[in-house]
Amino acid sequence: MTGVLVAGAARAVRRSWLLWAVSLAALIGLTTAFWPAFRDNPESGAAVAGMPEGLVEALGIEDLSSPEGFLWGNLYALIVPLLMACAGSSILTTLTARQEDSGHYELILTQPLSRTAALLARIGTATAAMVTLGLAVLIIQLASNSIWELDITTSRLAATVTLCTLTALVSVGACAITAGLTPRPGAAMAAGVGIAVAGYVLSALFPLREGWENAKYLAPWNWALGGNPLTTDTDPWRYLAPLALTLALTTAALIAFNRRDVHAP
Amino acid sequence: MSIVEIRGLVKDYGKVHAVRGIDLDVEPGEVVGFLGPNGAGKSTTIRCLLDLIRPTAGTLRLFGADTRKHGVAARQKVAYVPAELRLPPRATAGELLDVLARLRGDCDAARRADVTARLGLDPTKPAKGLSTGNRRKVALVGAFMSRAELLVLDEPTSGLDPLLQQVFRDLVGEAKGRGTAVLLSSHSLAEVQRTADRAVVLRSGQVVARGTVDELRGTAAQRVEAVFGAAAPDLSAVPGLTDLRRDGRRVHARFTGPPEPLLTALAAVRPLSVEIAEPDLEDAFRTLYEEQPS
Repeated sequence: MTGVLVAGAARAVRRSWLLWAVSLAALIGLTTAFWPAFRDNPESGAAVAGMPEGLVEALGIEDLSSPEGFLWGNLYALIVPLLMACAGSSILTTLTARQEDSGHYELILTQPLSRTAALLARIGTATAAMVTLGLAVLIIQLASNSIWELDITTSRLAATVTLCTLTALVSVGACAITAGLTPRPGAAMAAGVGIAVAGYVLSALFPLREGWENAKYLAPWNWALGGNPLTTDTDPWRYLAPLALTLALTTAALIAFNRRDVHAP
Repeated sequence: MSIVEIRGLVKDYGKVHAVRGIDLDVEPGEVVGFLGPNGAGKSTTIRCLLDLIRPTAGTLRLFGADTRKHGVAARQKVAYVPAELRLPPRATAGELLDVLARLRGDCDAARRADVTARLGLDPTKPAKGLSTGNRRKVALVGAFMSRAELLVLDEPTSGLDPLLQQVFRDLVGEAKGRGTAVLLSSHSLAEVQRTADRAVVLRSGQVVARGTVDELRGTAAQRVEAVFGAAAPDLSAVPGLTDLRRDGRRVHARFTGPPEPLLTALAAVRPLSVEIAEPDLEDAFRTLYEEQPS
């Protein structure tokens, strides 16, 4: 039963997953291709010299001449985790709220299976999609590093990509609780992307204002990516906290979905 | 034990009362017509029964089990044809039926092939290219290929041509022959008249009549037409005669109640011919609706 549900869900999002994987691969490959130019140009740090220190830190571009600083500033401080959060939100919205809004749930949920099984299979599929997307990101980054001679510790890169994946899973969870509450695809997508964007703003921009620094601790984005994972070892709680939030949101989504009417055309 | 047992079902959407206290039973092996115009509450009742939507009040039981607490086990014995089937666009009809078969686990491959052929469904076509009628065929194959003990069919023939409607009636007859009960929701009176043992008539979320098809027809006004040699006489004093219309030498009317006063009055005025038409369910339906304030 679960296999049938997961296979059906995977078939529904395989094109979308492929599109996200190709887009991220292109972004990573092209961005990394610029590394030799930054490495060989000692003036590359001068461009940010005149910018406010807080803003430079917020954008993660403090040290573009080191391999870690280059990757962090150009990919992993914002764009890769944000795109992965968008991918997770898009995939789960397609599998849940959009399918329900389109009326596809009616025939499925009148079969001998529980709502919990149906929703859990979809969340599980989206989770697997994000884990494999993270794996694809890691492989593409390692391959690009090898091609463009970007020397970086594999374990730290793997940790960073894992934390990006966990950030995306929090978005999947936010999407799931919203889809559990309402069959509106726009609301589910907005919740998933919104928690990522809000997390980045709280984590990177709020500390620029005096007295607002502690707001970053509210952001799952900061829990995962706030510890400079490319340059320092990551504390275990930075993995566990977003994971726990995702599990809590998933549990709440299952409870909410079991309590409401299912939309039918 | 009734296969379907609904008591005091109420479903409100805010201030809108979609269903207002419906009781309904379906016994093993019987075909029950669930009649009513659009918006009467038929689909809402069915969706409550299948646990898609949650009732505001009332109890629903399938095979003796509460549909909320034991819905999964109960739905193992139920196959459903929704009023409007939406299918994932990229999958073919055959792939969708494969998924349904695997989810149910009780499908008969020979029966699937037989029903697919009789309905003329091409299982290789992608869902996005299917017409309304072909989507209906997918749903019908999905329901009739199962070994379900109850078929819940919501407007099952809408979009089907008359020949396929006959195939559908044959399939219902065969299912009944196997002991399968059928809850047939429809606004097509002819369909219910030809298929059902009993009918329950809804209006504005309430049951306005229930009984065998014959009983419901018995409550209906018969159409009366009499032709006279000269100008038609005034028959307005005859008890039970309504909608009286005189057209030269002809009289048209509708008639309910014991026939003796009508026959006595007609005998007295010596008509050339009299036709008293057997009422069909449509007449019963109209009568019921005219009698019940909305």
